Amino acid sequence: MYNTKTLIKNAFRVSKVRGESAIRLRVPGGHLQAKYLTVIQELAEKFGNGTVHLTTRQGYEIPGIKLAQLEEVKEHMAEMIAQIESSCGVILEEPAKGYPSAGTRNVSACIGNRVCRFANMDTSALAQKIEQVIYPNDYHLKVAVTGCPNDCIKAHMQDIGIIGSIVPEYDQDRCILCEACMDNCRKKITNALYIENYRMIRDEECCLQCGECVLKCPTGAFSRGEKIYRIIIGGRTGKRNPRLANTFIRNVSEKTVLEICRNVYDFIHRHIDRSLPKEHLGYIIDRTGFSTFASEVLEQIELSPAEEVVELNNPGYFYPKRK
Amino acid sequence: MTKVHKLRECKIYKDRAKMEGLKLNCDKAEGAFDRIIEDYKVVAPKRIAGKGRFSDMDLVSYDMVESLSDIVFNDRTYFSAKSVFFPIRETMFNYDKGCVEDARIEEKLTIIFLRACDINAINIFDTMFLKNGGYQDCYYKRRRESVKIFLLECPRPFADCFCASMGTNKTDNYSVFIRKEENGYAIRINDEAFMKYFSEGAKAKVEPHFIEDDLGALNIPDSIDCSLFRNKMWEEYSQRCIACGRCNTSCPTCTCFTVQDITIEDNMQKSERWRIWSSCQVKNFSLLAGDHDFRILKGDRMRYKVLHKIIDFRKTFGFNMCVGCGRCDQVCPEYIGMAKCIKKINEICIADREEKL
Repeated sequence: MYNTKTLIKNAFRVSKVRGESAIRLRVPGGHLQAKYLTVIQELAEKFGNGTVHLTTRQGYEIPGIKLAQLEEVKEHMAEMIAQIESSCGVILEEPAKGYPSAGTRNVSACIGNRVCRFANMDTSALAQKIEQVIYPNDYHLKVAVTGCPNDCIKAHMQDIGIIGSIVPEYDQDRCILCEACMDNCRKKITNALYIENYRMIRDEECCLQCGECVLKCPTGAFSRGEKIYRIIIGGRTGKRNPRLANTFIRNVSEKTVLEICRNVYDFIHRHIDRSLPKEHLGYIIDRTGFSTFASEVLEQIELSPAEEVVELNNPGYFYPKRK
Repeated sequence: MTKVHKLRECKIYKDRAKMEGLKLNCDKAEGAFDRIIEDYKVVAPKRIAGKGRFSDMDLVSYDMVESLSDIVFNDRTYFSAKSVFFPIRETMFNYDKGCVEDARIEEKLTIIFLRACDINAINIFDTMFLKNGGYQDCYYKRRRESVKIFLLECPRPFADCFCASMGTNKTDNYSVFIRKEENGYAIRINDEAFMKYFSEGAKAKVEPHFIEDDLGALNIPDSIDCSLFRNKMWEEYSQRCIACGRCNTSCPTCTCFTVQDITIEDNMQKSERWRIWSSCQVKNFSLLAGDHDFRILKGDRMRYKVLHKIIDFRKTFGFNMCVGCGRCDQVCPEYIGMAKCIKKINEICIADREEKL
């Protein structure tokens, strides 16, 4: 009666309750015009069971949708999903059919610099640019963008995590040696600052480029320099070998971030184990080896001297397995 | 050759009718400004893109400007202009094998664009460095003497400012007043040294507008009772203040500095003496030998600062040390307010007085 493959392909869920589905909505960057909440409310109250679930990836899931009413539901939500995607620069060819891919893996983002004082960038805006690059995301690539190394969005649990950073610029002539930056860095971060000849020295090897020295400085001796990004790769949860992502490349520009996302997606296309319903990037890299991954992903990307590639080395966590 | 400039050298016209008012279109005003910057360095409020403390925010602060269009007329600056005549770090003199020589400084005269409160703040600096205990601070004096003041007006009070309550809302201590208008600039020249730059333009009556009423008027207590020192009101600041010192570094009247002798290139025969801004709110300000510290609690530091601004300075010099610019309120990450604190002190003083009657 209902083709579950088609349902899943259009991002609808097959519920445990027979005859029911759930709608899943992408919210790239986790930021939404409030007007869509009215549509979400209508969908939940008219077609669902009156409740809405906020997903772990910042999407909406509306449960209790009768499969018999699915066509009507699709029509009701078509304009909204087309608008949300077009605001990210993605054109939905046939919005009345739903999303064209099962992979609702929403590109998620922390609140970013629209609100947060720690954030070094507009995370939602970058997430929406990444949405353009990987849409419709048939390979379920999990991407999250976080505004600073605090990593509130848990970019370390994603296939690709983007960490927003800045290069702190130091003007010795403005420094009053109050040590606020140094004390904070020692207690909370990596102790990257020390005083030599009455000026603050920043150990670039240790500095996470989080920008807290700028936040602490009462005179503006430390100020915001260039926005740069750190890409972390291979994080995942799951039943086989969960692990945190590792730093793959540091000090890159936004342009390089988008190029690498595109190349990672193509890399998955070439190497994914198609006998599995889906496979996380980290497992694919385990199979191909890091050097293959790095050379394919960085192909045709010109790296500046500051952009630094780091080898992945995190074996992750293994559950005991029967021999 | 060292030029010697006398303090307040500008010949302010006694006869107000002689003061020149002008209206200039943008091109002509920029032309006059171009001629001025040949002779002067000009420091004014400027929008510095992306240099705000937080991401994607601009910093409005004092900086060198090269055109009138660079000047931000309608925003209060984050920092005051005091670093122009009181640098954050200043080499006072160099010492080389027994010879002491004052550090050289740039000779060019500097124009600073200031609002009435900030001009009155310079008066506080002059008092502190030049009229304090019969001794003049030569390092301050030589920089101060090269400063000319251009007035900026406040079309309306900024958030949290209270200049009218402090009596610092008006001034005639300026060489030139410039107002940005829709199609040009209105200019009033008080100092004949600047007449030559403004040869064009239509004569007009130009009067600066000064703030008459604060958004929140304050009363400053005439005196306080010593019991205020132990009042519970200070405990709140011990909880809230994070001792970051931003109130001091943005303040146009905070003058505290510390002095250090530093050696150059590990050569003990050669050294220089610096002075560097200090802040009564940050750690170690009142640290003494043997690790004694007078003011460990942040509430104590707040009390020290506020009472110095509105009571102690006045006891010595006859006027208040705070000009009500409101910067300390605006820059405080914990939303601690100077005006609110003064209000509380005043309420306590009134209650004390009523109790005694």
